Amino acid sequence: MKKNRIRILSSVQTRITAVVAAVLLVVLAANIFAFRQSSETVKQINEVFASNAVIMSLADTLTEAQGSMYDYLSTKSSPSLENFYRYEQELREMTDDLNGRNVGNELLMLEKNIRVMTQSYLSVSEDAIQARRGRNVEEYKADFARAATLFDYINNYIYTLNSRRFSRNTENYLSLLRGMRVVERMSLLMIVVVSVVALVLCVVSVRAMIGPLGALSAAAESVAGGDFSVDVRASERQDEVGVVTNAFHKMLDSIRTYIESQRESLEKEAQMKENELSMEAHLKEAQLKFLQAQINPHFLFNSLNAGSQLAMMEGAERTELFLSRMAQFFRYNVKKTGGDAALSEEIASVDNYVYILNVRFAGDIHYEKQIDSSIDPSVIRMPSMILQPIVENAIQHGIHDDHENGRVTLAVDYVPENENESGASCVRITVSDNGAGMTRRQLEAIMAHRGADARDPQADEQDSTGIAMENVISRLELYYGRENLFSIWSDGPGMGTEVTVLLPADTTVT
Amino acid sequence: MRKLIYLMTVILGISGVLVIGLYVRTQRQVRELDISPDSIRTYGRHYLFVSSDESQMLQDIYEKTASACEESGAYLEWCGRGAPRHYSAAECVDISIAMKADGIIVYPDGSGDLSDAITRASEAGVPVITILRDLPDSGRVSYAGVSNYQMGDLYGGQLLSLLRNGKNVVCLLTDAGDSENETQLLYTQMVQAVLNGAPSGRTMELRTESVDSRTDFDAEEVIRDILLGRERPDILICLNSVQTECAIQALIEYNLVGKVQVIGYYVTDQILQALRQDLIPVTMTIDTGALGDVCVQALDEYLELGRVSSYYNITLFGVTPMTVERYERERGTDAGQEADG
Repeated sequence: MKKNRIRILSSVQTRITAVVAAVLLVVLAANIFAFRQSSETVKQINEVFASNAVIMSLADTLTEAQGSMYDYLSTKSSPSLENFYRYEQELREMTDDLNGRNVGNELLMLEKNIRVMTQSYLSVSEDAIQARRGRNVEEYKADFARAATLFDYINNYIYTLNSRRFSRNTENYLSLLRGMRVVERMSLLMIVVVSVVALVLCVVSVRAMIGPLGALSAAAESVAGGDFSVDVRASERQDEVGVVTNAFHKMLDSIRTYIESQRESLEKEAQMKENELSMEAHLKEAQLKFLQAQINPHFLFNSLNAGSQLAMMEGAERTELFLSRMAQFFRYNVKKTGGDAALSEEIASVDNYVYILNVRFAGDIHYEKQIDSSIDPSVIRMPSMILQPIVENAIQHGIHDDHENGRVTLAVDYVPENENESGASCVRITVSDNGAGMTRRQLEAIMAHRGADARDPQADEQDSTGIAMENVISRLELYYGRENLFSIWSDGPGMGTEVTVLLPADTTVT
Repeated sequence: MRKLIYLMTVILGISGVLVIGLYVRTQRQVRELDISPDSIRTYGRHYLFVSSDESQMLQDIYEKTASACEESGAYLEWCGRGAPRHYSAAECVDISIAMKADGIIVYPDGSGDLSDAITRASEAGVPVITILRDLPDSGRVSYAGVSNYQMGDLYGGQLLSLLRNGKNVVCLLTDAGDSENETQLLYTQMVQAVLNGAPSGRTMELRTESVDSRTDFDAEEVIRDILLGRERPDILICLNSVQTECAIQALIEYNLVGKVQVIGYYVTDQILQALRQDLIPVTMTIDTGALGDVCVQALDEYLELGRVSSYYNITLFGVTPMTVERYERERGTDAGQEADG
């Protein structure tokens, strides 16, 4: 209820009505004031000469009274007497309005003198009339003479008062006229100022009330055009404009959130699809390269098995061992081409590979394994065909020219959380050699371009192993879904090379 | 927006102040125009001052008397002054009676019917005080002025100091308004003083010339005739300020300074100037303030007690070129005290 009331009070309609009403009220007040001032001044001007009219009326009545008395004394007619008494009454009423006190003002003292002298005149006139009634000729003549003298004196005083009042009134009139002009000008100026101010306030207030609607419509137009980045701020106003603005603001926020979630969802989906495709592509590439390298692995390792059995029947143990390791190596390659393998299997594959090469190179390759005893390689899963290419690279490019002194070391250890830069524990596999080493450029090329054989740009990609470093790195990242699992380092040419592969612990143990 | 609202508020405020200022100004203007009896001092008594002579001396006397009345709580009105026609003193007294005035101060104009008018006033219960010219046979309750004896002595003394060896023609200018008795008394006393004190070899021929101050412009004509006449006086005695100013002007115009000694009457600006320039040897004057005080005091006393002293003496004294500075200082001090008061 209260909220509704507040809303009604703060509605645009109410506010516009209030502003217009206030403006009209101010202008009306200014006009009323100006009108009142003007009418007051006009009234004053009208009253300025009113006192002269009163005095002249007194003089006229006095003359009428004197004439009536003279008529009565001459003719003793009743109408004259009635007239005299009527005028006498009027004179008394008129003089009662005149000043009767001794005051320090010349005009008021003239009024007082006229008042008292008129009373004296009426008294003497009454005496004359009474004497006339009593037929006392001498007395009424003497009284009439006295009354006539007083009449003359009073008339002179009335004339004096009238002329002085007229003089004073003329000054007042001129003064009021000047004041009237000032009032007129000031009133006009005031009305103009108030009207202008009121108009400006009205325009500003209405613009302030309706202005946000303009911004809102521009924003709506942008949104309709597909631009959702337009900024519409929430309003604190309680009126209709505020409500619409806030609703639009919320609606825009909702649309933005929805679009964002849709975009993220699509991105994730696309990423997943890309990963999948990439994994498949890499595997297919590895398989292709493997198939290219091997004419018919199945036929080959079956034949090798047959050779091994033949060597065993003939009592050639070394040949039988060699053929058996060859068969294991190729079997592993064939079997693990499509998935992951245990770390132990990877190490075994490396062992077979090194054995085969030692047979080939008359045992010149010095290979050493250092496996942390706390690690069980059989429970650690990793992408297959990772270690053998690395070891192959170390042999082919690291110690190729100096098998006698060359040494390849495979180390597996555990890296706890606090020692790893990524803050997660992992299993570290290090393949190092003391061979030819690599230049910084070669290292950067491998890490940047993931080139298969950055050590020797002229190396044939169709090497015996056929599996490049790029492939190794990519499959590691695809398998674990993160980067920086592969690193290669060398102190320079002739300083050996060290390749490190990190297997995150949270994914290695399954 | 807020700045604009502030600006508009300031403009409205200024307009409001202007409007209020205008309103106050208009109201003040209206108040100034409105003559309200409540805002003007009221008086307990109404006295009338009657004098057809409107010379500087009478104006000074009126002003001093009005001041005394103001202190006493009475309003003093100069009857007939500024009226459309000239009223005689008798008429003014009659008007005062008709006005039921509380008291009348009259400077007699010499008209014969004034005594009757004063008597009528007395009968009507209006006390009358005559100043400078007495009408002892009228019904006046008191007289305030200079004693003719004292006046004769003083003028005689001044004559003695001005008489030269041989025959000195002295002309006394009388006013038509002065009563014969008073003039005679003054004349006699003056002659007596000269006779008593004149050194041998110095004689005086005293004659009187009447100047009617009631008729406009007569004084200047009469004095000119006297000074340019066959028997030009050696000493001219004036008995009012108009005569004195006319005489001084004639001395200057007809190059008679030093040839005719003028004993002036009263002190106006022109007479003061003549004294400073040593054009005249002396002027006799009265303290108009004292005269005004006495008049008001006498009327108040009569109205309160029903009786009053019939005569109040006002001192006559001379101002000479030697004493004119001291006189001015004293008069200036008096004026200052009045202003302070």
